[in-house]
Amino acid sequence: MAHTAHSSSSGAGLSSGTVTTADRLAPAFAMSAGITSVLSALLVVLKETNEDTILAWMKAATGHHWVTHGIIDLILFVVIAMLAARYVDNLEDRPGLTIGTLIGGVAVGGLIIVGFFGL
Amino acid sequence: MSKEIILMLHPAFGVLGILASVWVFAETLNVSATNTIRIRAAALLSAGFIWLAYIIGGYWYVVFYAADKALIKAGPWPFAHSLVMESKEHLFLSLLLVATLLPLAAFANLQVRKSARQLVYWSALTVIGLGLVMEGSGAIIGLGAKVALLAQQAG
Repeated sequence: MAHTAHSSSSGAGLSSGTVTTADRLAPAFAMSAGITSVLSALLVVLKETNEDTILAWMKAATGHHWVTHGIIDLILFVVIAMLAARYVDNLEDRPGLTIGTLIGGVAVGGLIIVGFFGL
Repeated sequence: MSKEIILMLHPAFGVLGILASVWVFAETLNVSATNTIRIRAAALLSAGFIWLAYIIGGYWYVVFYAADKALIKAGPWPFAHSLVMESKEHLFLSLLLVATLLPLAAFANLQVRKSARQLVYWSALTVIGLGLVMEGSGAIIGLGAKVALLAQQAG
């Protein structure tokens, strides 16, 4: 059976064997995706409410504010993931934290964006 | 390449990215030594397709969308731009992040680690959900342009 290996691990089925780089980095990037989604949504509010300063700078930086926004998000995504991988203990065994941050962050970010443009 | 073809490639790659994520989800439910490589290949495909959708859609948005934007805003469905497109173009960035996460999650030790499988499930589901929202939003934006053109003709 494919799942024999799962049930033979610890009670929660979490810890077994060597922790690989991917085991450690994936949850770090998951947390980062959630946090970056919220920060990206806040940047939307910030740039749209400061058209003469922040939005103008973002347009000037790359020719279009959306391109600058995407680049900022990608930088945040990598930097926050590296920080999470470095400073959050046992990330690979904390699916509640990592998945909760991922789903919660994407949901909150989405609500901020839709709320801002819809209200 | 005509701008219409470019515009059609955007949702086409988006759908392929969604389908690849469904594939990742289904294979991960039955993970074993024999299908791990398929899970990783499908996850890479999903990320690749979503990135292509982003780059192609972004190119079209930056280069061609201004005329459609003016048309939609002057038409009977201005919300197709002011709410739907504005939300779509920024929500897409979250989709891009999660689509990039999916292959990273798929390269963890899925056979042994339950937490790694859970992350793949939720990442794939998020790509599928956000992808469907993007597809639906694109349809509304297209209809916004269509009703604006129809209103112009009637006027």
